[in-house]
Amino acid sequence: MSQKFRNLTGGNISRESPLDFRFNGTLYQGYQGDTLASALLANGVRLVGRSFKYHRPRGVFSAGPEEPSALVQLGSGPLAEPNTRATQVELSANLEAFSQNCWPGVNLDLLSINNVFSAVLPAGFYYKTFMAPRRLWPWYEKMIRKAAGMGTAPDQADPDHYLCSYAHCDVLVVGAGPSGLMSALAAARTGASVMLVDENPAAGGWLQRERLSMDGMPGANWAESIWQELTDLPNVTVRARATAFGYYDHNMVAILERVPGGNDKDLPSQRLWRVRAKRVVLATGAIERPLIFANNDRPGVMLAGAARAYANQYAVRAGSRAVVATNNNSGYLTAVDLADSGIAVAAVMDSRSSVDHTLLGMMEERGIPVDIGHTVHDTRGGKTLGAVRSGATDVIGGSQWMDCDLLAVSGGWSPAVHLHAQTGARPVYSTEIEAFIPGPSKQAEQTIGAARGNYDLEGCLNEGLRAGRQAARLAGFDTPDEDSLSLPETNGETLPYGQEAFWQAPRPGKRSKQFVDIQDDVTTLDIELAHREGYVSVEHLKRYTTLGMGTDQGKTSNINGMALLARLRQEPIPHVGTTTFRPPYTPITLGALAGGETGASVKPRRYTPMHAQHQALDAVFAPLGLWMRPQGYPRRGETMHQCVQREARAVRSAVGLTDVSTLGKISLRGPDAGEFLNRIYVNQFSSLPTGRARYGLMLREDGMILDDGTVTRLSEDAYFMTCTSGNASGVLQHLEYHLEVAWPELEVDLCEVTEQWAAVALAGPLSRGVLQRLCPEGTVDAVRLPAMGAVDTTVAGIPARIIRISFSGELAFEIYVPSSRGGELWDALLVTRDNTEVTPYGMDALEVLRIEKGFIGMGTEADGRTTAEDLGLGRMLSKKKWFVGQLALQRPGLNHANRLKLVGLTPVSPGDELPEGAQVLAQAVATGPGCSIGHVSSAAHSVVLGTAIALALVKGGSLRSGDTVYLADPARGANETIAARVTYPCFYDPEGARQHD
Amino acid sequence: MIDHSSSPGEALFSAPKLKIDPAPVDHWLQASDRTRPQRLRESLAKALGVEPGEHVNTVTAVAGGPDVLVIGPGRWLLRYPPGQTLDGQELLRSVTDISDSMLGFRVSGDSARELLGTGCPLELGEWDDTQPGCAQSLFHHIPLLIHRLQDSSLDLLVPRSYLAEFQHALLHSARALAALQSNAENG
Repeated sequence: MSQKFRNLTGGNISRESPLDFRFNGTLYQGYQGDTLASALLANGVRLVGRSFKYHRPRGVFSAGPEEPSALVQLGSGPLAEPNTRATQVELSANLEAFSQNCWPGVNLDLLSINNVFSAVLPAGFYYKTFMAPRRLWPWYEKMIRKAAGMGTAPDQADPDHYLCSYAHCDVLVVGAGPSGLMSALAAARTGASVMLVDENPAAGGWLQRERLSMDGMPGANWAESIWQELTDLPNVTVRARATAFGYYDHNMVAILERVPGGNDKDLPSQRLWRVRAKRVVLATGAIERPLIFANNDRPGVMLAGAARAYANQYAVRAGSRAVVATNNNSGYLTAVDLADSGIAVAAVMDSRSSVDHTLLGMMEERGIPVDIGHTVHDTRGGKTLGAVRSGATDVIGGSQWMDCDLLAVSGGWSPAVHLHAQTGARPVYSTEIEAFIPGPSKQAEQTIGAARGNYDLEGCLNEGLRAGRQAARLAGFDTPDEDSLSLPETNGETLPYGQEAFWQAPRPGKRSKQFVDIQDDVTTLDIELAHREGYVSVEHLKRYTTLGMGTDQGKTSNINGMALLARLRQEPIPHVGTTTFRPPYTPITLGALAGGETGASVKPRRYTPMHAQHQALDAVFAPLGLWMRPQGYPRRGETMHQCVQREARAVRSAVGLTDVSTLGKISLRGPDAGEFLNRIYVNQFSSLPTGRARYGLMLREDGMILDDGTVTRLSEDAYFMTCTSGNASGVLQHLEYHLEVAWPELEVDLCEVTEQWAAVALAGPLSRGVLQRLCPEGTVDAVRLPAMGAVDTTVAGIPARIIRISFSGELAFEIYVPSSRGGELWDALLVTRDNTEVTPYGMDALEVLRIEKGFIGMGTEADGRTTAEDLGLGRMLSKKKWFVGQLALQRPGLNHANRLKLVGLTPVSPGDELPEGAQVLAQAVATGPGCSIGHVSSAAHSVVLGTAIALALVKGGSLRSGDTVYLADPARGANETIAARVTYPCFYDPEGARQHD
Repeated sequence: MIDHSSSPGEALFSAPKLKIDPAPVDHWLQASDRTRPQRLRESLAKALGVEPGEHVNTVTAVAGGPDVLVIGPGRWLLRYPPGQTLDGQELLRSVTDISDSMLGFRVSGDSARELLGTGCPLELGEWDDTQPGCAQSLFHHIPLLIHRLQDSSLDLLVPRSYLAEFQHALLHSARALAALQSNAENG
């Protein structure tokens, strides 16, 4: 509880707001404004986790999103969140965090034995070992996964909820460091709508971590004042804790905003923004690179900028005695800040051959020795750093051991070009700063400041000002006079970058581990091995060694890895190139991507106007596309099979009622509507009399069946079309396409009226009697309403359209009423005045009735690969007119005798079921691949035959009538087949007498 | 699911900057003529006494009559208050009654657009709040007709079958926005 590494003053933390938290079960205290990492360091906790592969001790390495080491598991139970960067976790009251990838604990991790055997576990070892015996591979895989892991994902549903939002702006600025703030302010002053986002809780970027003065105040305060000014402007939206993680086409940037906790159950924990901006300014800063030397991964080895951040931003001493190793001037500023914060700085080791005398003066002033031309060769220690060995950069093995518990390293800075590169742009290598900088933009984007390799504060401010104005101008806004916005006055220690590349210290021992990718335990030896084995492309190197494939995506390792590969290839770094930058920039919670579209809401569901009536009847629902339709209405104690059989029998013997509101419905009007239908359907429609309906079949351009349905002629130039439920939008699109593209001259207008009409089918021998009692007298008698007749009338006083059409094979009527009255119609039909029992039936019973009649189903028999001839509907193809798909039907392949054609199947043994989806074989035993002669497309248990029946698509079709075939159902085992007899594909009333009665 | 015929005036959701009410169940007609839109426009002008708009997404309010929404080239929606309809409808060969097709909600308040933005990708920033307007888009994959009214409140109308899901999504977002607002105000 003591926070013994916390200074009494300084930092941008609130000492008035102490916060208790637990790490690995131990209670600690930090302050509001801390991150978990800073609070742990303040409490002297150095060992945070274990490494991915070798289970080596690891501590806090950075102070931002680039963190490769200090990954922790937050929370527990369903709220557990693995692989969270301690450097980005805002400390909150009662926060609980745990080390991950260690057993039984972080202090004693038995799996650290991997480190002992590391010589036999180089990159790609699992490609070369565990090859035999093959059957043990699943076990090996399990063990490897267990030993090499990250956190543990919770196995319960995430109780948090998330909000997704779209936003638009003229100028989006990513990053609220000095250049981003100036850019946003400059753009905002033009009147452009501006959105400014930053991943941190407070604005300022590196200004938070430095001790600069701007306009007479600390840099962090200046940043806060600009942020506030922007917040107050009506045309500006600012978002803190918002990480821009993906840059997509058409200038869409995806941003994840973390919402600070609250008690409101409706408060989303995160908010995903999809922002489309006319112009984007990327001010994403730069990421410091580590130096590569032996054992450079011990807890206590830290990026120099991070050590400085902990000192300045959090008033935390990351150690007691520090050594600074650098190849650029920023390391000296770290040494100054560490010394001023109370850390004894034992030495600065500078790999460069010469150093500006100003820097030496600064060190002399604080009594810090400087070793020019020297670097760190090795470290020692257990779970924390104990000492470093230094030496000349060009001599193998260092000469001097220095005790220290903090080693601050700086190998230079890499611009954060990730978002820029995600636009499709190719970063280019700058030999001036030895890093990749943005190349020509591929979208309406400009990268500025440190993200462009500009490490000078005044330069960044200037660049931000210009970029903001330019972005606003390009978005269509007049820019004000140059003098209306001035740059802040700055003072403090600013130094030129002065970097001199130094990629690798001499390796003290043959097997010494010099880590390049600290997160994935990739060493210089791994890179050399990969190169020796021919993985000389950077993309191959990445995949073979896993360099840069961790959750940090190699933010601190990629450039160093490329530089080493370049040296091995004896080529300049630009020739090696970069790997591909892909979203997300930092890991994103899957829940945020899903937003509210989870569970039952993963897709929007559609309900028919009679849904409440179905619920009242205890219907079991099943999805049909997006629609929720009753599958059946089981009675108490009834299985679904019994229910379906009862419902189907009721239709065959009495009367049943089913909801067919989901049918697609399209109104066609215009003098050319008949001609249009002639071209769309394979059969003739212009000759259809008014008040009559006709079954129609429409084909795709390639001759395959697209859909079937009915068309009713309402008047001379008005038709009413129905199509299958799942195909409604596809059919409408097909019609619209042909009207707009193929025949724009046809005077036809379409209007989809699927939602306008509720519809039911009343089917069964008693259906006419039930309906007649609800209609004006004589409306539905056989003469006035013959089969395929249609009439506009009233049913139970509701304006209705009745079409006498059957998809069950029984006398049946489709009744259409305005949707708002669908429930009323259902109730009226279900409760008859003479106590005739009208049985509601669902989709499954409908399916039984369809299969008994051999009617084709869309998606089952008409599966996108079948023609009308294949399904026995060739007689419908008109020879008197042209129709869509006609030409394609002449292709020889579509007329081949061996095509799959529709047949019926019955079991040879009456008790056998015929499994849907089974392969059809000519012989009882499968003889190998290619022995299938077809498949079962639909199957049911017939209520009229009392046995299983099926429709199948079989080579030769009706030529096999009477043959015995065998059904192989993989679910039953490959060797067991079911004998079935090929029949005519109609099992009930083949003459159609019942439906035409 | 919502019963649009009951509880008139009862808000579905109410927060300081946001109110959601059931949208009135009005009488909707779709008028379209692909090949000769001008002919239909003239016929509508004759029947309504006011020339309907020509530009997509504009709305013409007819005094004592319907709002006429231009939803596409040669396609208009006529929105009548309940009990009113188009005189001389029989003269127009391409008018279809779609009154039962759509239902939805009236959203008002300062956060109305933000609420819409939680599911609708449409750019609304350039809308003139002083003028009525309309647009077709999606809200969480649900087809959506937006009718912006004179008072800048929004009628969000969806195909009837999606209403329950739309209500669920809209309320989920509304509650989240209200909680965010409250959270921000409380620091």
